[in-house]
Amino acid sequence: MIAGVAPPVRPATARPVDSGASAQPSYRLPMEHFVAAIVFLLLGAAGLVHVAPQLTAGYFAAREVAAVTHLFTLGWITTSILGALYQFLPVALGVSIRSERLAHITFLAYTAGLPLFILGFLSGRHPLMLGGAALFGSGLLLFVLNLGLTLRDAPERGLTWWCLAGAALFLVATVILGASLAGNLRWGYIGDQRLLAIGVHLHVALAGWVLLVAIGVAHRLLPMFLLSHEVPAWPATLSAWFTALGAGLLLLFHHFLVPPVLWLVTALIAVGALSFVGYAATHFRSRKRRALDAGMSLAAAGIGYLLLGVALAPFVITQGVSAPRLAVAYVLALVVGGFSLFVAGHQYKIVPFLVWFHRYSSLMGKRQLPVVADLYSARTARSAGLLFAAGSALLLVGVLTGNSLLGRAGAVLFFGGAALLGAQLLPLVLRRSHVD
Amino acid sequence: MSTDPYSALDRVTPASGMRAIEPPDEMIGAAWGLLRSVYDPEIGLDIVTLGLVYGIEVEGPVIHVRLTLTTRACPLGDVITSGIESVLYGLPGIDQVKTEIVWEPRWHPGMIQEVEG
Repeated sequence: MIAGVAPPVRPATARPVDSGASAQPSYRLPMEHFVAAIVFLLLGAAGLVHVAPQLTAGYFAAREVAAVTHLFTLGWITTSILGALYQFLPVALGVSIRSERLAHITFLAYTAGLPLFILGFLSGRHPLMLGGAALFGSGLLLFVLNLGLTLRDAPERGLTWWCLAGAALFLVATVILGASLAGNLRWGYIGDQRLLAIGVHLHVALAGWVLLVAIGVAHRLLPMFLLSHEVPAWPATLSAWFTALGAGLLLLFHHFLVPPVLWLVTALIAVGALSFVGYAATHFRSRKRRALDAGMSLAAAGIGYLLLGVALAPFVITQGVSAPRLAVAYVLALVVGGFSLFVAGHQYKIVPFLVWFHRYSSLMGKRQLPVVADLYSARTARSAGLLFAAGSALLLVGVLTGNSLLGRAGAVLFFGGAALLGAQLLPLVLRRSHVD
Repeated sequence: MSTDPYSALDRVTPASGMRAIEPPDEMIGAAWGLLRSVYDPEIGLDIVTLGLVYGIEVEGPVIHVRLTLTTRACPLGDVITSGIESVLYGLPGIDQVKTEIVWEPRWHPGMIQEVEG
């Protein structure tokens, strides 16, 4: 026998493994989600331009504003999360989604229900709004069922598992709270507690659902995307615990949000979010890949806006509805700047990779192939990132200063970013599959 | 990435194109060279530069490659192993390519030979 061994490495203990690739879903499942998510982003960004004057005037409870918010939270962020999770589960937890057929049904119910809900919301036609809410709410609950059955079968129950399990429960709570708010628009049973109920609904969604998923996913993806493997995981664990505890207490005591409870919940979620920001920042600082690509730059910008949102939280609590523009800026920092950019960055990482995998993986070693970065223009992607980040900043300044012109200009820039992202990723996905 | 991933194959193929038995050390060297044409498409680096290949052994007509992945969550395991099989079947005298993914020692970025950009 003759052998050649890479010099710097100690002899390895042979332990054959299943790479997990065989359990991956069909190409169509995540991609249909990503395409729908991008369409919702475009609609949401266009809506942002439309409602910019209302935002800069602090009308956060206006129907149009709520409709645009849902296009971002449900349409863009949640649809992207669902698509990413279907792809992510096999490699992160070693188990594929329990029923791909149910996942497609979920997708249909969800993406059909959301536009009906938005249209009903905008037109004031309650049956349409409630029907749409029932449809997309059912879709989300079916997703949770499918995810729950999948998690039950997962062989590995680490941080990612717990984050996803917790996030699934908070998604159910978000749907129930949202259904309650939708019913209130028709029957008006919540009364003067409506704004408080909207705040609880929003924070359970953002902290309990979106942030927990972000923690669980980032814990696996950031080391892979940045080559930053030596980062300690305890801040991510801390982040998950504090976030879940804060969102859980908010849910439990949402009828008794006296100031001490409110501040406790705020502190817990803030520590959770800040731990996540710190954890992600450590990954970025200790990355082996020094040059940040467009996707990771966008994700970093999103994390920056998340930090800004957390910094605004105490002022929003102390000033309440007496400072409506501050409340609008706070939500914008979290939803439009924070999570939306974080998701956009991950779309730039995941979508081209899946396209590459679909088109070229069977040809590895047989011919010279492009790398993932060759599939789209990095310059255009960076331009999209700049428009997203600058648009968010300008919109925030416009809202904080009450300047509608600045606000609308920011929204237009943000829409430009969304349009560039759509112009890059949609043709990449929708182009007929063939080897170049 | 190498601009010409198959240049290593050229070095071990006789000019006449006829199949020949290679001296073992050249065979191993050629195999390392060929593995540079198998790469992580997301990172844009080949698996040798990334330090993913832990060892190559040749026993008669069988070549055995022991490798790891950047993370257990890497979805490219099957792509990389099939790529390895594709390039190494091109070696003269090799009838079988065996790949084995291992997790010890655990890969870390310090194993990367160099990263540009």
